[in-house]
Amino acid sequence: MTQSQNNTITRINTAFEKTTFPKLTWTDNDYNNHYAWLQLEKPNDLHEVAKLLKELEARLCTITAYTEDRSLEAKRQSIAYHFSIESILLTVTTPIYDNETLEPLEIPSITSYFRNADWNEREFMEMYNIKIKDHPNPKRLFLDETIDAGIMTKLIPFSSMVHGTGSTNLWEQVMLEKMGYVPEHYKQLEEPKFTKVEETAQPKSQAKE
Amino acid sequence: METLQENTKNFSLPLGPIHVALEEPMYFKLELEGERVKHVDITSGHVHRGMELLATKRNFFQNVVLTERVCSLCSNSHPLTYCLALENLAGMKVSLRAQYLRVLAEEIKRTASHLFNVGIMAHIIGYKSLFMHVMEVREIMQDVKETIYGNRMDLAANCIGGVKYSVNLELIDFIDHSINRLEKHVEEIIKIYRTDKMILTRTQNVGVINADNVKKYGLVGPVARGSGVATDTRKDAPYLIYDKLDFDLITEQGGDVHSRAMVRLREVIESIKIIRQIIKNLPEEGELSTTLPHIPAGEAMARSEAPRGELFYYVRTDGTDMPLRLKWRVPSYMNWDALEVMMKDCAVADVSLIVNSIDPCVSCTER
Amino acid sequence: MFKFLKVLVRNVFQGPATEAFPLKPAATPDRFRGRVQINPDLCVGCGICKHVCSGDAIRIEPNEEKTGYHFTVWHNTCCLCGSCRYYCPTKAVSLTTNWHNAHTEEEKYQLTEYHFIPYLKCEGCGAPIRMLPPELTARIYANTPFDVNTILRLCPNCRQIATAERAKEREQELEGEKNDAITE
Repeated sequence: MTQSQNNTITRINTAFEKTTFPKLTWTDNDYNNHYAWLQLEKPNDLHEVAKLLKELEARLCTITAYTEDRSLEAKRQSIAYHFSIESILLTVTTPIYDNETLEPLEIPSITSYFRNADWNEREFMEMYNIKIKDHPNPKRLFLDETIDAGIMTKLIPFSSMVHGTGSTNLWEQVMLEKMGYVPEHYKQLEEPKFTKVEETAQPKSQAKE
Repeated sequence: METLQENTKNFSLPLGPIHVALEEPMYFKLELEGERVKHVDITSGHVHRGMELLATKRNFFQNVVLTERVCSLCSNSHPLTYCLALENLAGMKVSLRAQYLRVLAEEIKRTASHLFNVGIMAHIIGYKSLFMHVMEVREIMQDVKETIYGNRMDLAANCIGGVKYSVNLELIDFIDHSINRLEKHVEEIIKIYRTDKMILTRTQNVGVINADNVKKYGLVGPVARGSGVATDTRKDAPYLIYDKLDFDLITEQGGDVHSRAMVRLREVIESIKIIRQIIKNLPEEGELSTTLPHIPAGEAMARSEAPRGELFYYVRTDGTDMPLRLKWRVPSYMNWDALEVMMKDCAVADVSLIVNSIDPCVSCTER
Repeated sequence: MFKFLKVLVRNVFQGPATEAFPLKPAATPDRFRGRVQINPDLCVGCGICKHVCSGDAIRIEPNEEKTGYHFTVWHNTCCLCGSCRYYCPTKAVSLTTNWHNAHTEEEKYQLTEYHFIPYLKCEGCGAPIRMLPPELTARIYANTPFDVNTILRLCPNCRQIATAERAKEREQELEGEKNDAITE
């Protein structure tokens, strides 16, 4: 560890020791990069943390919103705020649901401390349907208004996500060409059946009557 | 229409999403007063592909290739940083030889990317012959990429735990020969960009952003360095072998389009310096990549200096072979937002020049 | 401006920098990552290529009679990343320098690298098996007294029995040698 790194780590540790926040945990890697992690209990503390980090001259790298597990009814969402303080990366994670009812909580915006939180917050508002109390510019960033917020938490089948490329349908054609048949398990997926529009059209003579 | 009748000086001008200067779509709504831009409103999302969601449905190996296809110009930085994040998580060690080879790929990509942006700048000014010349010089590095990696843009150099390629003596000679040629041309180009009257009148004092605003908006890369803010992940938090290499952190003080172009051009020379050190000191022994251990449940971050600035990756796993969450933030992400400062009171004719000066990458930003 | 004029004049004398393709062949480096090629003799059907393939371009399907498997790489969805080549344990996958992938709409489903790879019959019990990769087998059994050529044509069960029997024989041989030494 170099001297300047050591100084930064001490500076961060002393600043956090004066507060009531949980203790920072530290990890490092093979290249002598150091990472600090702070796990908050509730999102209300975010303003205090942001203020403290602003005093430490931190730069907001990005914000990651995520659901804590892969299950379909995943209600537990968290947000990780990633800051850079000189050579150190510091991540502040906060759950954004009520511990007992699992109801989502509204969270404060940190744009008043970090201007570049604007885009990041708008992004997770639309991708994860997270509510922010006091965002200065809460319009859509990437998604069109016609798409429901929270698209990243929805179940989207892989095949429809990739528009059917590499899907069963296309591969059936390839296999027919070379192998001359399609294996049974490829046929398990049922294709939607449509009634032909011509079939339902009334014959012209009837229409006249 | 009413506002037009009331005051013929004030009107709004839509620019984009398809625009001649940018190959990628971005929509600007400019509020003008005469010929001066008073306010800019950016609408993005035309190439939002939901790649972060896609990444959670594919295994770790497949994501190396997926991240490489986020964007073509910094295509090597994405898989590299993704691999670094996974290696941080699993505590993997990469051999010194593989680290050297990773940096080699990074710097070769950086030279080509910077030359491309500087060339496009000449194109926007209307200096077509200079544009063609810079692109021809860049072609030297494109040939290097094609010869060593097998593709002009997507190198496929990285894999989890190391690299997929190696270089032999013959190829090292070829790289050496190519960077010597490149250096000569780039030095000549630097002189032209520094003194050519046409370039100076179009780019100096255009799209100015000062150091305070750079910090406020959290800008990185050549945009920050062009305003005199000395920030470079390779120096701030060295990864791989960057702390062992001798190169300078380039800054310019002007904060305008010209300064940013000069930072890029001078960085090409620094990259050539790095490549020269690598081919001289490349360890002959060492595993190219390690075997993949089980990647445990957890979270990790990694960052690297892409040609446009700091690239950040966050990965969260749950013990399966697919990430639970993969988030990346590209340098252009913050740079876009700062356009409202750079474009304040600029002429309409300079808008595309200023947009190009942040070396924008739309597909990176929107993922 | 004058400085650049010099460059311009020089460029004019240098002649065109572009290649005359398609009138003349375009230079292609040896390492160019082009169309995927499979060597069916080396493929053991382990499926790692399918696992790492990010384009979903590889399918490995046993045939209905279970006498072999169809190995298909569909070029139209292959992204030429070379992961299959890198992770293939037997070096059965290679990338050619062929980049001529333009084709008509009708040809799109035919554009494949396709092999039917038959299973071997185990020389012990006759069960259909995939031959062990010779190189790998030679490496595994390098310091053992086993005949690699027979081993790789046996199913896992028969291989176990054969190696056990061979080990027993070897033991007896060694004991015999010992006894010989004592009697001498």
